Amino acid sequence: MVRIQTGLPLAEELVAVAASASGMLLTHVTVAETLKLITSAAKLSLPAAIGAGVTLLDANAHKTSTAFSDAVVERVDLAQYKLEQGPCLSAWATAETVVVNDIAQDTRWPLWSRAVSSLAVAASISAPLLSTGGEAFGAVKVYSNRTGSFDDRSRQILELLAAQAAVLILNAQTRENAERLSDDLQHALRTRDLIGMAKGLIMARHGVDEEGAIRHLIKESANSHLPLRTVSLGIIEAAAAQRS
Amino acid sequence: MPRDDEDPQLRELQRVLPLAKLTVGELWLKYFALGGSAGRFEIEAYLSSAHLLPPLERDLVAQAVNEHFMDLSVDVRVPYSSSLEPGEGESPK
Repeated sequence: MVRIQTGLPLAEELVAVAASASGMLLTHVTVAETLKLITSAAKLSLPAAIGAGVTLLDANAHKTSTAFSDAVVERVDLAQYKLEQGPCLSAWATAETVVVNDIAQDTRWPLWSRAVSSLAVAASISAPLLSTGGEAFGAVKVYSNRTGSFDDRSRQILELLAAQAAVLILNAQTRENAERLSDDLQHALRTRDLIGMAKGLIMARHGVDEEGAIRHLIKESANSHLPLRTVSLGIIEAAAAQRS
Repeated sequence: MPRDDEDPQLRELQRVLPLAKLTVGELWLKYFALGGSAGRFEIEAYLSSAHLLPPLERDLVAQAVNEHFMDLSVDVRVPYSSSLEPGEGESPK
């Protein structure tokens, strides 16, 4: 029985991958660069700011990536995630902007207020980053060294900025995922090539059909505990060595 | 095609798949790399016993999962179809 496959298999899957990959060519801004950009924009847009930061969180409130304009922001922020409490986590959990007029006097996050009491921060404002579905996936925050620095106007500005930032971040993430997928696909196609070559060699050598050849390779892989790619490479290299 | 819930290969695959921590998309790409020709949707349906695959395609799915376990140094293997047993499966020389 001869079972040769003709035509390109899985055209649909490959088209989808190619389409998502071509979007990357437009711009190459990474998630990390986007976060840095947002951080400086946030700091500049509120005059009372001494520093700003962005944090992305997964569904379990675990930090996935982060950017800071100043070292003090990093320390204040780290304390939140270590203690698992603080205004940014609240902004993320409630999907609402959180303003803290006086960090030392505020009673909502007692452990965090105490932990940062020695640092030069007195007030903060944190706006959630929302996906199109309205789910929070992180927060933008700005700190000040004067109490009562942030009012309704600051809230408006930061929320506008957060809305723009969310779009930028989601786009950058989509691009990075497409890039990763394209790397994985290249590796998969190369593996498929190598296995195809080895199949052909086995068919010629053992007079078997395509199915017999792949079964031969699988058996060899099971016996040697090596993946098909490695087994195939061995067969191809041996054949190449014979020729030379 | 009739459902084949009694297929021991599929039963074992369904049992160990959670250990592999692979998404269907990741598993499909590995299977595709090995020369598999079924689409991602067919693989998903096969894993949930809603679709039958030819023995060779099933063995390539098993191989993809087994290679992942090799990578993880986990000593778990999905069995191959009976036509892979010694003395069978290979066409006459």
